[in-house]
Amino acid sequence: MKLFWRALHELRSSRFSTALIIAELIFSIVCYQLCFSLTSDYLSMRSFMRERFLYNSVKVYYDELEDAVIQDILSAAVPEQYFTARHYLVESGEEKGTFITCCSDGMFDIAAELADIRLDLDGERAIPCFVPRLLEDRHPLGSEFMTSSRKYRVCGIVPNDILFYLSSANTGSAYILTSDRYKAPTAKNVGSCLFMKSGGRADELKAAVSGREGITGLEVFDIDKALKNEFAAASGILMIGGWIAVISTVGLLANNYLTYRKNERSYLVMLCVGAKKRDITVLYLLRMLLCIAVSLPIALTASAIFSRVQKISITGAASIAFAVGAALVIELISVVFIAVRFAGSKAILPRAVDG
Amino acid sequence: MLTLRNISRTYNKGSDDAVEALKGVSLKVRKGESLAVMGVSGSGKSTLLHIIGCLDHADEGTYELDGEDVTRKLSDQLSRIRNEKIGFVLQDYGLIPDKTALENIMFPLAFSNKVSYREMKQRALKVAERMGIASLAGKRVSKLSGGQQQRVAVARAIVNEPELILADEPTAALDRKTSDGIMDVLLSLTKEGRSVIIVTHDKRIADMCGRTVYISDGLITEEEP
Repeated sequence: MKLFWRALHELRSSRFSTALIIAELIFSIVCYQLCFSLTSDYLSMRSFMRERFLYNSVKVYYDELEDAVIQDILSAAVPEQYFTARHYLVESGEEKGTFITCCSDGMFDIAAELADIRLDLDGERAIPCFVPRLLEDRHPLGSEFMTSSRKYRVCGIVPNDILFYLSSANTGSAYILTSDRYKAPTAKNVGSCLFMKSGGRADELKAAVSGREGITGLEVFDIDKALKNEFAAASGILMIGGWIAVISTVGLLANNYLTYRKNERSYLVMLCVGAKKRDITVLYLLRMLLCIAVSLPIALTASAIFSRVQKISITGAASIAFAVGAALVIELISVVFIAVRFAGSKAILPRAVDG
Repeated sequence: MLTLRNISRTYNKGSDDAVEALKGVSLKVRKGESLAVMGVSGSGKSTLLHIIGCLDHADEGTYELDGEDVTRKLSDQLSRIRNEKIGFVLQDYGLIPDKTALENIMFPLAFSNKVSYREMKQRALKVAERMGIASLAGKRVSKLSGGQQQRVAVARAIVNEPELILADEPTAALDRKTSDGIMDVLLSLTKEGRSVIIVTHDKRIADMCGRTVYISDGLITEEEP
């Protein structure tokens, strides 16, 4: 307990250095969360895409199709679980983020783990859909809206972020609506591309679909290109977050070292007056833990604000655990350095006496 | 109080740049005795002080402190001995500059399990009063004069009521009058039965002590009286 109070006292008596360490910890924790969230989302999406979802899928572009024709085309696709088809918005030959995804039944179980789902809102009168968090203001839970003469009811809010479109596709029940962050779906901007899973028979699927009136293009989905695009979308913010994390981490280690150098004489004097080597290590560890304890709530608040402003969810339990773990590891490196320095050198004590 | 028998200490033993700092030193210091250790730089007097202060181990020989053989004690046991039985007055005072005089004096008590915080403060204040620095207790030591800082250092050395005080050049940075004041304080401790060992270059300071040993090239070469 005495060591705890001494650690607290030391932190208070060197306020500038303490404030700097806390600031660096806050930046580090937020950036660790950001990097972890984006990277893990990207990796899970990549794994998902590669393993079971979009491999060998076919995209069917069209100008205008009747619902019956669409259903006919979709019947050519492999009715596998998890995925049947998607409707994309295509503007000037480019796919935009707005799309409606049709998935098979039985996805609620998966979706429920990821999203804010209200199964009781899934009624007869409208097609149930999920809305990404960024469109929640426009399409709140329980609201209904019309596109292409279809009526949708929002029965789930999915925690979207830059990489979420794939994850959100994974969470669909009947229909999932996702969107880029600027465009809400309307009757005008949906339904110009079907995305169909071929089950490894892309050529057969293409043959079955081609030649129909209204179809303007057919192509096999290029998974590598899609992954590259996904990464490009995330890479900017990931890059900035990564660099800040690196700078904060280096700053933290440097600051810890300088703090140690500043206090080294005090520690040596402590040893002279009867402190055990272990006491010095515990004292330093307590200092570090106190700094983390102070910076953690601030960092978590900052990352919650960041998530809200940037529409990127970085406050998941896993990312928090990772960030706190990483911060602890960084601080433990400093503690281990001090423990080794004091335990390993027999000449260190006389240095206190010799000045 | 303490007995050293044939103490040897070699730094970097086994390598080409091995230095034999002590070559079989034997020394006895009685309870309540004041002893000055003199010698030129590199003669081995600091090494001797480190071994007596349980800051370093002897390679050979035995060291008995207060009837207890401390030669082969473990690090934690030596920490306890330093805390309970030895008080250090270091060369450049060895104070923590951004702490107050009182906090510096309390330092050794903070590592003793037997004393509560309130008692620590009371004892530190009592010692500060005795050293004539009670009015400076709340001041940061960096604001104090050299003499005042050395008084704080002495107060810190005796706050745990150790039986042995080791002072390494305690007056080196002080003027004559202040030096005499510090020496008066240190020597007064012998009247309470504490032993005081002072390492010094100053013959005048050494002469104030009851006995002086001269160390040269790792050996005690002369003793007076």
